[in-house]
Amino acid sequence: MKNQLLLILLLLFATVFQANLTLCKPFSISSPDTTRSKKTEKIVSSDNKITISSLINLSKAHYPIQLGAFKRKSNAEALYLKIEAFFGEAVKIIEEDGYYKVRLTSRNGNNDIEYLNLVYSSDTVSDEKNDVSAKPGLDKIIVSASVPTQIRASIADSVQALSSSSYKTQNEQSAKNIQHKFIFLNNNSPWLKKFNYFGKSVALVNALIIFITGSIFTMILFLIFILLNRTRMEKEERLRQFLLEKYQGMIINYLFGDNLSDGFMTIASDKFRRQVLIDQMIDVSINLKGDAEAKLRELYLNMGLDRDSVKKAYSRQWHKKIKAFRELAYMNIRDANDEIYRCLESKNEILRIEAQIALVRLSDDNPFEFLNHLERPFSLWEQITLYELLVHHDFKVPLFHQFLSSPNDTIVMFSLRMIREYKQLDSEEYVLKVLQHNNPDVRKIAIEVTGDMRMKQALKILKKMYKNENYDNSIEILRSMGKMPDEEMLGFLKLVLDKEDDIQLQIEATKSIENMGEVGVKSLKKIMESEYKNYNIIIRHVLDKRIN
Amino acid sequence: MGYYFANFIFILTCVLFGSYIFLGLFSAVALRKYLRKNSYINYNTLVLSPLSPHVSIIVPAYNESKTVLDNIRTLLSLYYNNFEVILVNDGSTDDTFDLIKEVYELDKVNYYFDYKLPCERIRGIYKSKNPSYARLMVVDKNNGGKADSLNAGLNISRNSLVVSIDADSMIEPDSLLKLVKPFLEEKDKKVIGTGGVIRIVNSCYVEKGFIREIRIPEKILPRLQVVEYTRAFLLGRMAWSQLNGLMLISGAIGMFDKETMIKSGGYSTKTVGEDMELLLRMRRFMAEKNSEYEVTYIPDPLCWTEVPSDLRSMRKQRTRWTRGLVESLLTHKKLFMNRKYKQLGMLGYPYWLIFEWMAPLIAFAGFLYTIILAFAGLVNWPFFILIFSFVYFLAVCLSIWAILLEEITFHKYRRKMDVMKLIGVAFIEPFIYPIYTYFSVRGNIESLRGKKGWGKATRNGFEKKK
Repeated sequence: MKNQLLLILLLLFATVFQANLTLCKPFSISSPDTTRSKKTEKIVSSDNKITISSLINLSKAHYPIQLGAFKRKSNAEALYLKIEAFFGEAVKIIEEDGYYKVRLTSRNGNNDIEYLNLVYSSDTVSDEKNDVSAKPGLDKIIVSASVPTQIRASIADSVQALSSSSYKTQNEQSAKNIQHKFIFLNNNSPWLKKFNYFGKSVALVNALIIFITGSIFTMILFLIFILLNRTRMEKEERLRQFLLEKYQGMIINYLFGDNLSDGFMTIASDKFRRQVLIDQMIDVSINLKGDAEAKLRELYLNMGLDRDSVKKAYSRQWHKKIKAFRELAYMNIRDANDEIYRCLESKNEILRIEAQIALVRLSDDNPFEFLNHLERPFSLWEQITLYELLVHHDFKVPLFHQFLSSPNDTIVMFSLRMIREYKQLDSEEYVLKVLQHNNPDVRKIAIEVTGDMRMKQALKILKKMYKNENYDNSIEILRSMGKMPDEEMLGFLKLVLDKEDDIQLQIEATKSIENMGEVGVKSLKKIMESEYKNYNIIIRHVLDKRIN
Repeated sequence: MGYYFANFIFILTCVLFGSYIFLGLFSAVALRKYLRKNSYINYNTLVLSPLSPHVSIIVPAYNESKTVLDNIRTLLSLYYNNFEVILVNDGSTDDTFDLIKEVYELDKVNYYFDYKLPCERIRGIYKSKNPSYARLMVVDKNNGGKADSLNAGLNISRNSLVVSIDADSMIEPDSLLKLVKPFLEEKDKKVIGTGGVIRIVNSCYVEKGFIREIRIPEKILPRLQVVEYTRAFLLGRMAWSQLNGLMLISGAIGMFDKETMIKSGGYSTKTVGEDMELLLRMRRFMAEKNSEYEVTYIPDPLCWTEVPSDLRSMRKQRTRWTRGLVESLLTHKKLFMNRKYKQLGMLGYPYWLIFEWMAPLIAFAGFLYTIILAFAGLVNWPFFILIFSFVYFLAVCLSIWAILLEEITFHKYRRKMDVMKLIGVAFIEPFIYPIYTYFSVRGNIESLRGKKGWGKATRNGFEKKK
């Protein structure tokens, strides 16, 4: 229950924790030092008004009474001169919090003190003469009633004077500046008097108002955008769908019917529709071959759409380039090949991939010729994309061993993978050479390929390599040995099982033994029977067909 | 004293809002770039490619009988070729394990593995007799908590990439394709982890583990969390990932480089914020080794999770999050303003320390202070209203910004009414903030008292009537 109550309370005060900014400063009585400030706050805390008795006590306790606080020293001095005649040294000007404060520092006697006014609570003002509120630049004033009427009048007069004539003349420029500085409020604004807690917070209040207004305005803009964007998106999608269907029908009629290309000319005048038409042409061209494909290309050229594509290819925006490369590749137009080549070295991976795809499509004899020139690393993502392109299209597959001597290691890795996927057995000699490559990652792929392609000649090399290879490559060697079982390796594998402590290496060695068939299994069973080392658990794992 | 305190809070708030605006702008630019690039990527090339890397998905499950079957079904039908699912039953006291065993015809196998990372005793490893479920492996172990189960899964896994997911989450069918992509890109830096956006499944129409229709939650609390999640994932994390200062990959879904995970010691069982703690440790490990590394982030919604729909469950969740945060930050205090750790030490860590850990505590103190002074009659109400409006409208504006980003990017809520409801909630959400701060304070207190463990979570299950 307690928790719930607390939550309700907290809910009421949500997001307003900053509001306590408004709470801290005492109103008008200044403490002579920080140790007294707590007392002062206590006295002030009950209300905006200070009681007469409190002031009497204050006076007795030698608390100073602040008569005025000014931003400009000259104003403070003017008030000081007026009062000094009556109080002498008791009147002081001190500088505090960016204000010049005129204070009555010590008073003796039990004269009644009357709290006259707190400057900014204008509704509580009673004494017209002492009503010194609403004066620009003046913060707060308390005038003691014990001060003779003459002096009170004098204070009021001086303040009036400051606020009307002299102040105006002295600060006219400054006021103007302030009005220029802040959009919403200036020092004279009655709003500011309500909000102005710090006394010097014109900027803060204005900034807050600007932020609030800005937030509301932005919020409304966002809301409008959300609503309009949704409508726009739906409308555009519907139109696009409609046009796609319409153009598809037109293209098919043109290709296989008697329709002429005249109908398309009207479309070419509108940018959006022209792009939809190009997109549809690309879509249709994917499934076309022979005459139909040529006819479509002719239409594309006749309408001058190639110019659009070439222009886009040279655009500064990468996404436009991509669109163009696709269009040019599908329509077999080589006018922007130089730009496509240039993009092979782009930092933008997507652009690079699209350039590679376009070059593969646009090449007649050697679609992967560009690999000879590629300097940037050829990422696995790019490799996968190109491989998929090869798999799904009828391109001429090159002999990949030609790239095995490339200085670009990632090209060597790609070539090794392609040799495996296309089972280019003639490349064995070249693959074996790569086993000596400097880069362990390249060697790893080469080891994998020897195993996958059952290159038995590699076995002895692999056995030799095992000792000096890193962990990953050692595992790969054992796996490869398992893929091309050879009884000659049995002794070596048993040795690995016996000497290695790593479980993964032991498992791979055991698997390779098991792959040798009857001889291997027999050998494993024999090892299980021996109690020299507890291999049972490993061998049981390997022999369990449900696992692998 | 009060004067300085008030000023401090005000400045802190302004800096916080300033950073939100900066992160929001940054994230909007990054999102636009991502989406544009993404529109040209054909993820399908990965689906059946023999070249795609092998991935292990580890799913810890403790008393998840309501959701576990749906979850396995979803996981086994992911669009990817080379993956295995390792479900770790963390000594459930309900019928979680029996259900899986029965439905998937499990059989104990002689699986041999090494306890590379410490974890509770593994009682058995099971595979299905049905070859259709060959990808599934179930690990039955003694109870040790989520982190312990994940470590067990890591010990069992044989693949170089590992995905950890929560058993109460539903992952999108193409999530593996998207998560794996950063690991395939050729970069100067090694990718050690990738995270993605988590969405809220409450009230969505779910059938047999698949989301058939995305709906806005009916209850107010989950609906509020939709706005919160959208803001956090689309504005915050997206920007942090661009600054390479991401400190958290949500436990709901994340892909990691297993080698780095194991070398940096795996999941910590001493904290409830094991996801954050692990990432911090992995990042520290890489930085101390002077290796260039990267933590990437996918702004696509990859995973759907059920969020608490009542205050009690929410309190448990949030206090746990706070404890996790405190424990992780304290464990890695060395990072604070340490140049060696670059953006992480100089930017990410201090930001989380001040704005994620300290700010709710300071805010809570501010609330109490306000209440006390209001009762004492010391509040300058006009100024109070001004400040209130400032905070309120900026907060709402940021939420609507996040909704706008969602609307123009992923556009998951198709019904116009749903978006209007979200906008409506954005106006209410700032009033809930004190509740979050209260939970945060409780989390801190629990952390001080040394409370451990997750507490019992209530699951309603995914299935909703159409």
